[in-house]
Amino acid sequence: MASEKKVVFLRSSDGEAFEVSEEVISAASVTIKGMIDEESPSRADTAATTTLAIPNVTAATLSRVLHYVNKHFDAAAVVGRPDDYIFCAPGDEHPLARFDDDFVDVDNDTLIDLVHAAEYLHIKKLFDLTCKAVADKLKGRTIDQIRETFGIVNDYTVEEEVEVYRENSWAF
Amino acid sequence: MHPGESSKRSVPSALGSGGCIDALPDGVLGHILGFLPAPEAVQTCVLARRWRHLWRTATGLRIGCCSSEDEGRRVKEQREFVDHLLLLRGSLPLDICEFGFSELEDDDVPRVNLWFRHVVMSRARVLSLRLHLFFNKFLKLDDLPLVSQHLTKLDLSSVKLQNSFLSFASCPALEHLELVYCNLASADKIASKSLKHLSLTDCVLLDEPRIYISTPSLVSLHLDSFFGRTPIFDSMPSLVKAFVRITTHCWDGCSRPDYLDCACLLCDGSDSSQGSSIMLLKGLSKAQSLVLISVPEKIIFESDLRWCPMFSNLKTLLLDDYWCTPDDFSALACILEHSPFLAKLTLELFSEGPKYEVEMKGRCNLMERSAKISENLNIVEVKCQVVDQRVLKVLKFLCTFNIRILLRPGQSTLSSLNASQVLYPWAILWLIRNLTISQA
Repeated sequence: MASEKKVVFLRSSDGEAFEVSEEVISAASVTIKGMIDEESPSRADTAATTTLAIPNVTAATLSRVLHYVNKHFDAAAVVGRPDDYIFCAPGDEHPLARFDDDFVDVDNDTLIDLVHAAEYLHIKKLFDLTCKAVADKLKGRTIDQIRETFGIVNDYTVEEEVEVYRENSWAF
Repeated sequence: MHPGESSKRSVPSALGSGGCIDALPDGVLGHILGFLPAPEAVQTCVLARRWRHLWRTATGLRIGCCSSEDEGRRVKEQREFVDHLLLLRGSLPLDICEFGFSELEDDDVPRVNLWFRHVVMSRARVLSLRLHLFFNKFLKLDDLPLVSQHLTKLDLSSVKLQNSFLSFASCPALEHLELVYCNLASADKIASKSLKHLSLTDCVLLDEPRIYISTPSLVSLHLDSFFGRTPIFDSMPSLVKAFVRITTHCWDGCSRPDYLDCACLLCDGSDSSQGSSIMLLKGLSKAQSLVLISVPEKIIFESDLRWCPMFSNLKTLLLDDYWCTPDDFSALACILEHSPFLAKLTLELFSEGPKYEVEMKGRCNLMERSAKISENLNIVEVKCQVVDQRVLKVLKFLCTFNIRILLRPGQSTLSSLNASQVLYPWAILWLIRNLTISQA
């Protein structure tokens, strides 16, 4: 039994269960590792697999997150150690750079959901990737365009808005 | 910020956010703003009331280095902005800070030094200061010890650094140091117990004594061209990979054509400053992967080879034609004989990559393997633009180790070899005898 890979099930907010290697998800998510560690004394002598509720994340988002996690944290699937800072090949791209680019090439709703999930599950690399992708959508846009893209309602009064501009005139 | 810090796990949020960025907690928005160029991050203050002060919590500051076409602006132009930014955000913690400037006047130097120290004190983990200055112009960073419990990565270019700065005793978390075109000509030592990755590109190094690099935890080293004399490395038992390229800027060369019989300090090995006559190779002897490239007239490697260490962990080795000077393969033979576990050898000959017209693959003949070289050597690659007389001599030499070259499928065919200009009759015989067109 010891040689068999342990798996856990993650149940999304809308009730769908996903199977993932315990080792992989523990390496990826601080939150889930914490949950597993809390559970472990009680399941040490049972054969039952653990199911963890992930109340903040929908099935659609969770399946994307697990796709990312399996790509980045499954040691068997990862060639070399991509986290290493490899000086010897300055021109070489990170082997997963293409995957990452495609991964965050999604609509705003999906992207914001991924930020939420990465934050809640405490997956630092995914959190950075998705936050940077949101920033890339803000970059180079006018204030009005940003409001429109992300549904931000301008609740300043005209006077306040003038004041904020004056307060930060050094940045405009 | 770190993910997870701002979420209240006991109170699950609503399913999905509807794409509204406002559904994200402040800490997450601060992290997002940290990826924007600093002016754009500050400008979000006018979006809505909630955003008025969010820019102050941005965990990254990217100043003057964000667009690829503009490699940073003059310090003068940025001065008012950076002063406001740093003072108004106060001492809120930072994760990453990048500065990029294109032009610097003398009176800017103290200001940039002040900014630099301010962000170090703001607990920055990753710090980058890149200047794109005219040749031979550097920003002198104050020679004060760098003190930070948080700094893990430091990346500097066109900066002049001195001893106190380069003794990283007060940076116990520093793991990456990358110096591009930095002036270290008044520093005699780089020392860090924690450093794992060191990259020096086009740096100006001290002439006398040579700079001494003591980085016992180093995992990877990238030493790509330097002005001045070759550094001396202390032992690096954890080294995994190293890249060393010696160019004409290196001052270690012997002017005598018959330098092997020369008695100059370098050639007779009595240049034993720091108690070691071996400058480079000994420090690299624990590496698993090595790239060693040099222009022919610099004799660093050759000089070192007289006390050639055993490369007991070496698995992959890439060499250029420095090691295969026509008619003298002693350097190549020496390093092969001192690499008992070598598995892959790559030779890039008489041309610069990365694209090569001809790529040949070979392997050791299992039956007649030479006792002198590694039993594990099962891949030999030879890359060149054209198979000329010089390349053929190398192939012939490899033959003495019972290394046979196979053509790489798709890369080259026998006819393309024939198209090359110089093929001596014996060489054609050799090729035809030893070439196997791979069917794979």
